[in-house]
Amino acid sequence: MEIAALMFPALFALILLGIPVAFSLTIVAIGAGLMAFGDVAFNQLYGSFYSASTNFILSAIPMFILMGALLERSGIAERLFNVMNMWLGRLPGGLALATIAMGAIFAASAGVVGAVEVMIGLMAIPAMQRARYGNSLIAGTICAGGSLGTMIPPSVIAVMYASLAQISVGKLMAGMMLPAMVMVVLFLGYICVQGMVNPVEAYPDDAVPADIPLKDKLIATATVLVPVFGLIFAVLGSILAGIASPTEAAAVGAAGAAMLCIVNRRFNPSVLKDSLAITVRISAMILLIVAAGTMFMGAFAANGGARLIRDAVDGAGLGTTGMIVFFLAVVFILGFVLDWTANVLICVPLFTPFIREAGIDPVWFAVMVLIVIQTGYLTPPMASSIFYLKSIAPPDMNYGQMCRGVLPFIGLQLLTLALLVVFPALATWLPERIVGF
Amino acid sequence: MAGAVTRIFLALADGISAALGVLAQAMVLILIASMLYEVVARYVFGAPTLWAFDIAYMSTGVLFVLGAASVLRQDAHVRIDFLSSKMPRRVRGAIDGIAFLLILCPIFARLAWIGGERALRAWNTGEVEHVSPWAPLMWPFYTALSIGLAALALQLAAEGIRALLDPKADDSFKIET
Repeated sequence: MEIAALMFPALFALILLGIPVAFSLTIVAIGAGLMAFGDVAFNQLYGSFYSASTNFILSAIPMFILMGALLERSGIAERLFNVMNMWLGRLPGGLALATIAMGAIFAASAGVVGAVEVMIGLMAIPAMQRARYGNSLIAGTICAGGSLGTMIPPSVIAVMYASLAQISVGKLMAGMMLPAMVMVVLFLGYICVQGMVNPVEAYPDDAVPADIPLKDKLIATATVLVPVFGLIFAVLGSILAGIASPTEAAAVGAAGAAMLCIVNRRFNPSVLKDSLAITVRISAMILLIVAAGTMFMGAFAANGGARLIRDAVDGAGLGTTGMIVFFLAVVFILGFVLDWTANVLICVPLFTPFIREAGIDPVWFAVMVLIVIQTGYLTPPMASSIFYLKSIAPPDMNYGQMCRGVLPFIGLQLLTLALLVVFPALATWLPERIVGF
Repeated sequence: MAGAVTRIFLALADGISAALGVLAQAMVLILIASMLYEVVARYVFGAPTLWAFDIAYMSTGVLFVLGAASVLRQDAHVRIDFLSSKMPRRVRGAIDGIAFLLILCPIFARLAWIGGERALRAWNTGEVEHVSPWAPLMWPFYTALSIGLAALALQLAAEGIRALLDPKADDSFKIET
């Protein structure tokens, strides 16, 4: 048990030394495995690695990534941003509202955080800076809009969570929908109020946006929104209705995204080549962490890790509520060091038995964990969202502005979490009604 | 600063990783094609395939294991450079070099070896997937996993040597879009 207790500090030390997460997990797993099994450790851990490489549910991940990569190149994003702007541009904080709306729609059509953030950032930052929005509002909006990829289904992280906790992917995605909507509404409301309190000053030399006739607006909206929502509906709908596995739905989504590229005359061999290259890069990165994390958890279990956790939970004398708070706090703190893949891989197998035993609704708990992970994604100093933003930020936007910018959105996410705690039905009502299996 | 032998070794490792990376991309296409065919077969022809499930998990497994080495070459395995970016270049190079060349390369070489033994056993005994009604032979899948792990071990050695000989000046982890 001492070895199991030492595995986490060792892991954090390696990660902080700059060793890639997947390799840090591997080193600790092999080290601890050798202590538990001696020389057959490698055979045992190869078994863990093998089981991670043969998981059918995880096949959805490469295809959701490909779908996102193709959509990004389909030219639909620019048009979507223009349309959103047309409708929301006149409201207080209009460009920021359009950015959040874009983030939400793209999160619903691709599953990967990070990609969404960079995509909306590249479009929205220059537009907002031209309109003289404050840098911290810009930063907060981009990070928050980009972070929605975790909560808005179909997210890759939900696929992974469901496969690890052995709950239905469709149920979990249905459970995420209402809380995700609450979160988006809170984001939009906050930006709107903040835009009314601190209106962006119009400069006399600013070009006045031309009035577009309503008919043109409607046509432009229909031609952009119909295909995008059609795609979202096809993918999510078939998962929720139980007529296709998430893997099959993801394949349909990727094919649909390719078709959008073709219709928009953006499809060519180099687009396909780039998209495939990105798919392999991100999938291999994520799935290697899955394989290494499975080895890590195998070695942790072999060293009596489950008993260690049980002793800790029992020893602390936590009630059901205390246990939930404790688990969520662990997820949040681990989020400072681990990326979401490793975080979910480690926490879900550890916590799921306790959650089941205590009779807690697993979907409700899963949605809370996802909100916490998404909050961790935004929270400085180790916020992935800010690292992504830094890679595309203009030189006059500094780190302090970024940190200040995300703070209100962290608050809104915690508010969503609080609402979910008070009203568990937000997560549990929908799955009971629409999942067709 | 590297000798001729080192240069040849590095080029060889990079070449193998890149070639396997292209194969991994082909796996993505196979994965999609098999799943689309399954959907069409089930809802249009009314006859689900026997093989789509096996093809899907196998192509996913092969895709990430074969892709892992080229992803390492591109430095795209997620890592946190929060602290390491503040260390001197040489120290960082030494840490990466020791971890990659002396620890991780032997680990993955050993895993590749075990995978290879499995593939050989599966070949000798004609092992098939026992839970699948299609019952495909397993040795090609085991072999592909073993090749991917071996290539990863090779690339780990190569990156370790690079880190020791000529540590990267700019350590900022590139973000994927």
